[in-house]
Amino acid sequence: MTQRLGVVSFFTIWLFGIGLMAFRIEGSLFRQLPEAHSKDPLTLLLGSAKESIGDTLFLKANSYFHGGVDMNLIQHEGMEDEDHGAEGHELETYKKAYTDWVYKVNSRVKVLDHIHLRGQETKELLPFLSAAVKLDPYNVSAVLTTAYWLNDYFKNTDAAIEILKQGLKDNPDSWEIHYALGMNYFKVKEKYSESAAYFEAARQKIDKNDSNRKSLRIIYYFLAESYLKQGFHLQALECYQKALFGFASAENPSLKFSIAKKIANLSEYK
Amino acid sequence: MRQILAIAGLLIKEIFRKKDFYVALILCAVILFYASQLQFYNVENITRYLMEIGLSLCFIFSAVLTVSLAARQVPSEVQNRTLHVLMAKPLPRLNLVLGKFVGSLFAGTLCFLVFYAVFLFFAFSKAHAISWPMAGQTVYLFFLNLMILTAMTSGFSYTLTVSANVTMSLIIYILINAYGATLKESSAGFFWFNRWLAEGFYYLMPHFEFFDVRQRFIHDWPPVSNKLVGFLTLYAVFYSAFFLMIGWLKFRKKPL
Repeated sequence: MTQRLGVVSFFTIWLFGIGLMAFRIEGSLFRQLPEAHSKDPLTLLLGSAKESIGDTLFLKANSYFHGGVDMNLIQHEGMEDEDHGAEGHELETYKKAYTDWVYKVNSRVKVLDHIHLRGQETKELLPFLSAAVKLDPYNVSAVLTTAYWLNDYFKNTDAAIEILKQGLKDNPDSWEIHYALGMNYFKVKEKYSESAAYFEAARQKIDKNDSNRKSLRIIYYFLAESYLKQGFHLQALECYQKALFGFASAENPSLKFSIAKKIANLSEYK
Repeated sequence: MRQILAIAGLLIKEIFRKKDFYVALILCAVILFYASQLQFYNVENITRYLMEIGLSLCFIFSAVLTVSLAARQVPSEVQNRTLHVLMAKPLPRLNLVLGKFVGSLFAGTLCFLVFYAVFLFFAFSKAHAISWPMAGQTVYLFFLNLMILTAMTSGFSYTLTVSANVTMSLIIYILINAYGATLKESSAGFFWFNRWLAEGFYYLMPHFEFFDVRQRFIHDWPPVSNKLVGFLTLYAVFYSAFFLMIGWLKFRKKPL
């Protein structure tokens, strides 16, 4: 009897000890999480599901852009074609080739024609993009897309810049957001010192591998333009030379010629 | 027929006597009011998101209310011992099954129409232009949707308890609405037994997503053809009859 009580007491104490340790480990892990300190009501309410909902809303925005087409019912082959947005592509169908009667009925109830929203109709994307960015601020594509629509279609560059700056706080290592901010300051705001700073940051953060060669070339080009607009000729010359270095031998001869001409003009400042 | 309508009339009164409907109605109105006031980057006249939210609320609330009403009919009659009183009258059991179904369907449809009127009010006040043929077709096709759902829940109510019935009916309804169209394709990579089960489910269960024309309504697409509406009507009648027959076969010889 005494022996049995001893075993029970041992297991009780052992369980208590394990439980106490688990609580301490969980507490310390919880304190290390950045979200643990979040006072955002959405984070408190939804937790990590917030990001998933945000991503779903981003996909919903994509569906809205294609006239509400259910992306599960369409065939994805050929969607990434370069002429995806071309005029001749309009009103084609996304219907799949296989003929199952359930799919046939669904494809007649749901519209599977291929359209893109145009002009003022694109405003219908904004609620979903806005919610996607709020719910998943780490989705760089959502941040960039929202800023793109706001700036290019609704001429609301201030809102675009605000979203990009907030996106930069959440994704400080994203070269794409730095680049987009640089473009907004360069093309719309015409604030060249800001644009140069963002292009410079984008240049530093981009992976310098071959797949990013084209992007890096563009960054160098606009960095050079930003320096030139400020009168920093030597820095501009250096950046133009690096941009020119990013071209393959037979690639885009007219642009190469234009850059080479600028280099020639700036050579006198050496 | 008179017996069926008398039973149905009681059910319609029942749904409006309960608080569930009013709670759902107030919630629907409050959410739509809040959603209609939202501003997105100072861009005016954004309406489709409001239609999306409004239609989803109408569909969800109507489906939940209808399922809960249809599921509790027979079990509550058994529990309260009122079924004995009802069956003491010269009432064929088939008429009771049909009466419960018709009553639940009409009550659910009335709820839907009230929610839909609230939705149309908010949508019209913000969008100013709505495709009325599409609005009508949405109502009719959702009525067919409710018809199958009510028949399924009503059919199950002769076998299952209220909570089991509500859970099962809503899970089937939600799963088919969400994955019905792509279930066969998604199951292609499954283990053969699971694939076989998924394909059986795909072909046997009613495809509730056939009746969902929200995409057409929200995105200004034209209504579906009359031929297809006719097919969908026959499809809904077939499945409703099938589920009611299952319920009647179970109830026919059930000792009271």
